[in-house]
Amino acid sequence: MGLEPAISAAQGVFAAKTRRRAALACLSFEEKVRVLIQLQRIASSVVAASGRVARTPWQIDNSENPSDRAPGRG
Amino acid sequence: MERTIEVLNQLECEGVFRRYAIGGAVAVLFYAEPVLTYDLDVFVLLASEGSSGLVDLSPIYRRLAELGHHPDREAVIVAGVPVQVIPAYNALVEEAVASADEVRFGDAPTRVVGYEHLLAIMAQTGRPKDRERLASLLEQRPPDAARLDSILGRHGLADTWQVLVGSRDGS
Repeated sequence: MGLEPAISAAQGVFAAKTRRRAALACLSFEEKVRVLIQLQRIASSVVAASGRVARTPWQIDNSENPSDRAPGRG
Repeated sequence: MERTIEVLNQLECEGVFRRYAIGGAVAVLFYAEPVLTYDLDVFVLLASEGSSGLVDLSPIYRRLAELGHHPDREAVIVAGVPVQVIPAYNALVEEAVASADEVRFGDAPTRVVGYEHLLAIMAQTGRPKDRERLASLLEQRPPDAARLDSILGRHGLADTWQVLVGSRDGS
């Protein structure tokens, strides 16, 4: 069997990544900040697990989380 | 971050600085997919230079401290967010702050450095992470070519841009 199936599968994954990145780029500013804080938490936990000093994720009040808001705000 | 922005708006309203705009990775985030950063870079036009002609950020830090926001390394933690106050350090950054886009974060009005100015600042700064972000931004969102050319021309960055980006797009 040749590499074509693997190449095709990889191309599918890359295309999905591109679509995912485009979708993330279209989020609202507030939603992007929410994703950023998730990224900070993930990165900090990985850094801490490696024994290095991790930076603190933003300590934003949950009431600022746009997902907690009524629809139509922010 | 809304509370952080409200504090920045308060300082501007009080005249602690003349005007501010969000730059750096959070500005990148505004225009593209979220990327990891821990600092909110805020470019400011200062109210005045010190008598020595040196840039003096102490009035900003002093007022932030009065409001209960204290320094942590090179940033000030404002409502849970490390804010780096960066005085507009050249004509390009001054222009970027002066012409920044008015946006809202939740209910708070704020400003973000315009996209083409952000690209030009990254080209001018030219650190590896700026080059990386520049490439990523250009993949996701084409700039207004006329506006970008005008900015690059005014600030002597056309050649720098060509070196950084020309080889990338084959032009």
